[in-house]
Amino acid sequence: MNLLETLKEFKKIQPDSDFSENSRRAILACTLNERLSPRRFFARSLAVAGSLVMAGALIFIIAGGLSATDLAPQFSSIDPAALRAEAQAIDTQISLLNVDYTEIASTEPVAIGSKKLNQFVTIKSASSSMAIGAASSTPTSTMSVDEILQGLSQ
Amino acid sequence: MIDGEEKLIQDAVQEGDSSAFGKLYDHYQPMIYRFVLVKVSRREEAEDIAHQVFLQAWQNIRTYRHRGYPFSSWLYRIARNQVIDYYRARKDDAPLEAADAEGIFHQTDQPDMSLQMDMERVMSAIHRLKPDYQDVVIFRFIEDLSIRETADAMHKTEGAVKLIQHRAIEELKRKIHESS
Repeated sequence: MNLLETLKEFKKIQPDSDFSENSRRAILACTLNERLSPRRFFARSLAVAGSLVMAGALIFIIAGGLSATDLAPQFSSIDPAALRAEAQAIDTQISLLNVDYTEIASTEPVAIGSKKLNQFVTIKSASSSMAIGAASSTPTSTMSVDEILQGLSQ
Repeated sequence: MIDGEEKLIQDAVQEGDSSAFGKLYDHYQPMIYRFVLVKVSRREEAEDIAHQVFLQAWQNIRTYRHRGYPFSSWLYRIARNQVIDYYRARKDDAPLEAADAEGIFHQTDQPDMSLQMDMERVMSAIHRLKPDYQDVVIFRFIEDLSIRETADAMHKTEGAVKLIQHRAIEELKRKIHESS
């Protein structure tokens, strides 16, 4: 065997053409690694630092950091006690309106035509009379509570 | 070296011209593939490594600096490192001697069975050489690189390459004789 001649035969080895084509396509489809020049490196660093500062500021604001500084907006004119009193006043007005409505509804049931409701109104009137009678100490002319409930259930 | 190689390299390096790199790939890929195949003796793994070599070369093409060495020296250096990484990664899997050369010469369409068997014996013997000896045998006697190109690819002096070449051939003959 001639060693050098045999070694020359190795040069006939070729890669598979399909592999070569696929490999070539895959490699050239890949993006290049960027080589950063000093100027580009500085610009990139600046951009990263700016992003970090912005993110930090955002987190600081979200975490309520402004309240601890003079930058916080002043809300001293808003008095929580006054707000509470105002809210209670509104509730009171609503209650009074309801009371008015209830009184009107109990004294003027004219628009209601239902037999049951008429009966209810009659019973309610009777109960009012009962209350009045109770106040005037005449218990014999009043209806019992059971009778009133029975009337309502009918 | 191919015609207009310097221009192709310049286009690839400075402009990231993929078509220029594609032409370099077409020219150098078979050489790199053979180098890796002789080193690892397995076709599929040689394909994977060769792919990695060119992928790494392309992704880092902008770092390439022409210092008077041929472009192939740069590729061979990447290939050598890839082969070293390959053996380092599979150190625990199988010893180097376990790789056999059988079956990788079908693609040469070599009709001469006697020659094919000789090639397998030589391949097996190369595989048992030290890495530096393997490299010199491949560069000098398979790829026909000059002493200078071989020295560039191996990061050695020309004198060192001549010495390694002499020892490598003696060692290769001895191993072939032992195996027969």
